[in-house]
Amino acid sequence: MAVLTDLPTELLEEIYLNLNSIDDVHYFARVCKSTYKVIQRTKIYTEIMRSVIRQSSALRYDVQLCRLLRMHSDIVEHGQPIQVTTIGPNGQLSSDLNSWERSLGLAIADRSYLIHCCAETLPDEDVYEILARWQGLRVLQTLWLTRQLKEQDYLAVSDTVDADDFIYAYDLINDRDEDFHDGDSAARSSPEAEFYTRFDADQKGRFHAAVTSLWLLNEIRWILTNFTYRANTFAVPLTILDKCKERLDEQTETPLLDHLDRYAVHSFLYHHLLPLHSPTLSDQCSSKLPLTFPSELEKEPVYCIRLLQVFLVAGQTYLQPPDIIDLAVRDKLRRKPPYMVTRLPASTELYIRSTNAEPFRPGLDLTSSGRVGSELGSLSLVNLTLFQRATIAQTSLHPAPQINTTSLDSLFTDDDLLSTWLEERALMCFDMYMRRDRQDIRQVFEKRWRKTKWMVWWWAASEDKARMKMERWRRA
Amino acid sequence: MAATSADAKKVTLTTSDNADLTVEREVAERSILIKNLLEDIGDNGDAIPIPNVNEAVMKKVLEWCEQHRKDPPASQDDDADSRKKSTDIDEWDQKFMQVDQEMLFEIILAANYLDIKALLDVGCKTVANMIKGKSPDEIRKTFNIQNDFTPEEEDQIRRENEWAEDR
Repeated sequence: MAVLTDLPTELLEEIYLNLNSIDDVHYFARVCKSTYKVIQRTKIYTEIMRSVIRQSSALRYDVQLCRLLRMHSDIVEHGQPIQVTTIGPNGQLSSDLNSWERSLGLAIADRSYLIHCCAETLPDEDVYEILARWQGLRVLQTLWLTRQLKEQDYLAVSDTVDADDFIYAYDLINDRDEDFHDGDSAARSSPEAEFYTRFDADQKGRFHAAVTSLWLLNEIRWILTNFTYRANTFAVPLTILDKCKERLDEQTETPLLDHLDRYAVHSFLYHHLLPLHSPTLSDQCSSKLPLTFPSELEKEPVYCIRLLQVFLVAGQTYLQPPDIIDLAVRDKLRRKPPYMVTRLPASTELYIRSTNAEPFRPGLDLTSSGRVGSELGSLSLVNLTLFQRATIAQTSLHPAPQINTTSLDSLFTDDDLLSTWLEERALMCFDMYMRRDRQDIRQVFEKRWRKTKWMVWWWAASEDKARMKMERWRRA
Repeated sequence: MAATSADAKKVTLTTSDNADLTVEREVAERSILIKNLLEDIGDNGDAIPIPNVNEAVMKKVLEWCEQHRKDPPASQDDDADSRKKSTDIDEWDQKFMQVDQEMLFEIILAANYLDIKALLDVGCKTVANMIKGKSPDEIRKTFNIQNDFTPEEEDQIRRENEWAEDR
């Protein structure tokens, strides 16, 4: 009578090597002493995890992310803007690509670990980093599941240009969250969502892939903000960006689903969690701009809200998923006795924004109008331009448009380029196989999506189901 | 050089329960153990004892060898998208592996002993697929395994590897 536990250690190890999720390995280890014994040896455990990383669909962006994060640290250490290679009048490169440009391209393109998976192509330290990331990013899943979000729980910079509406929408996010925590509103507001209390293995994998792919895109954007910029010389970085995006597209598995997931996670991070926990960084010295803003928005509404707008855009560029978690944790501590003031440590600030090309003067009153307000306003515009020209929504053929220079007595009309791009990518996937006899999905998508994006993990259980649901939206 | 008639070459294997099974040499040689034995001792027509595998299991293993007799030798992984490979088991193999668990583990043990790498792979993949997406408790139920950890031990392991895990 052979049973699983009759298998010798080396055969159990073989079984481990065929698993493709970190959780599966840990759960199998917890089954009994003989399965646990296998992973007790660090060398074997690392080997198993290396094999999992190679095979896991959830972790398919993680190795590239490790490389970009190393590059991020190198740029922080470098401490100054990176010169870009330029193209001469004859269309030739002025010199070979420099090491930064090469590293960026290679970080995304090199997939050798899929073919030869060993310590050389996938170092131990990357394996451990990926394990830590898998566990650490779970916090976002917990935050997602805490409360069903409705359309009022999101705020994008591009939502409104009316100061009163903006303040109302911003306050509403916080009010609704407080109502929930005070027990005044339920965790689920629609009947079907009552059952959506946890993610299964597949949903956890999709969530992780969505967060890491978004993080990867954001890291590329962050790196590009550290490249010196002149409109006529930014062609090389944009060509590298094109290549990176092309490579990442090849890693798409279920096109519509992947893009919907990523779009939903983007909204969650930057249109919900960021504004919700933004008070943690409010009211700091003006030298911290654009990563701070005045909390008294009503004092000089237009001037104050503009700083909040720039903060929300800056957050998308500088604050990566773990920084958003950090913000949420600090916010929680701030709201409970002993009401700790939890500012970011200097090392974190340096890591988030290593080169500060357009610094704001310290000591300025964030709520001022007049001359100081104008100074803050025009410098904000310079910063917005900096973020815009690094956006991953552009291509070398269509570089990012100029920022609309609105008059200084109205709100910024900044398009959320990334958000628009993510949405359009999803819709393009849909278009490919849509039924021809119905209205354009773009006419109904936004309205429907606002109401259903929180539940995307369930209604879009597969490529087909997502497509069917969206087809129904077109028919309705 | 005289033409060798492949169909004539047969070998007899004696299982642990003393059953004699006669198969074509090419089929038996899917097992590296048997192949090496035949090369070492020469094919003198004597039955080859396989003391670790009983008749029922051996028959099943030989059924697999028969189906895969013409398979090319395992090559290096040259497919860039090897991620999908692990879960993919070819259709015939999937059906072949639809046996009770006892037989499944016997096949794995036999494939290991007889050194049939591809069959061992299929067996391990089948077990791995039964583990995927399950909690420790569900895995225990699936394989009828007793939890031999104390609650403290289990908690300790969970904290070591999974940080703030909910299951």
